[in-house]
Amino acid sequence: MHETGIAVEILHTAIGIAEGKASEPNLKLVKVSVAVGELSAVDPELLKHAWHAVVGDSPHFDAILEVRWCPVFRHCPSCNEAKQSGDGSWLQICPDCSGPLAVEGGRELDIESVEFDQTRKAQLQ
Amino acid sequence: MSEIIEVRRRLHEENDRCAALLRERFNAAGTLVVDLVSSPGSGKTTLLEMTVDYFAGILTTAVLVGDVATERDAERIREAGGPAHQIITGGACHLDAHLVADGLEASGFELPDILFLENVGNLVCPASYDLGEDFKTVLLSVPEGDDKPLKYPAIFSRSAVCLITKSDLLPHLPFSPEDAMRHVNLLNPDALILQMSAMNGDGFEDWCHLLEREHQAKRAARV
Repeated sequence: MHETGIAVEILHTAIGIAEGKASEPNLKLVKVSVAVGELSAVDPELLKHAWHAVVGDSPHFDAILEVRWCPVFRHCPSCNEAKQSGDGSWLQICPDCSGPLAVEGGRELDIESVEFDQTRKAQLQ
Repeated sequence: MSEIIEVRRRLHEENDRCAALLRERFNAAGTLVVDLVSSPGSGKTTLLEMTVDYFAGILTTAVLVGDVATERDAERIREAGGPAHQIITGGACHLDAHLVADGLEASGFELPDILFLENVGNLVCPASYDLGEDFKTVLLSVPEGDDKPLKYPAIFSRSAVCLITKSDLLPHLPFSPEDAMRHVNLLNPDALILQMSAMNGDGFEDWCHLLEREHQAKRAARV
């Protein structure tokens, strides 16, 4: 599943970020916050499921993945109105007048913050 | 006590940094780089066999092939006369910039006029990874159906070129090229769409002429 690979990347990147700040080894992730855009081709719910699977057998087994959903904003300059998201979010052409749409946002796939704990040694479940 | 680090970092930042370095290298050499993506079985390897053969003696080409397992596709391209190096991803369902950089190193290739990256057969994950390419080319074969672009909007919206392959099957299947093109253009109004068949050669020279033009433009832009 696509989201599994993304979850693995998030885990490895978060660990790397935390290790860069930690004053001692054996840190434990507490929470990772990510922003997922509507045009990132990542499903937030599938990503959370994948996260649980990926961290399950690791020292970070109870780390939480918090996902902030970032919608795409589509505006038609010809109709001078915003166009609805949902199934048609990827379309670059206005469904009403067939003119080109102005598209903003929705491409986020960012790690926003990493919370980790140094006081407890990381242990396997 | 826990510590919170505010990061605001793109998840693919490392990949994109590697891709930018690759792109600098390709640009300095005047190498046109094309990332071919498609579902498994849409005809990427067959197209590359024909393409490397066409350009023999005209332009130098090379292929980096990504697959989960086996060297079969690289072997086919080498038999067709093109230098090819297989990247075994060992489970990863897409190429990323680091795999391309490592593959280039391992191949020993001198950068050619045109470098093809044959991505792992997958219409989802390759859309998200910059490989340092000039443009992505997505293959859509006639048996897959003309509504495929709407089902996989990310890759079709991010590919500058769409090749409708296996067009020799059109008389036998309910595939509307007009609908397929309309669906692609809904997602990417600027996409160039070509129809072709490896069986009868239809449309193949249009693909090769496109590559020649893009290569010339790249060389002309080289600083």
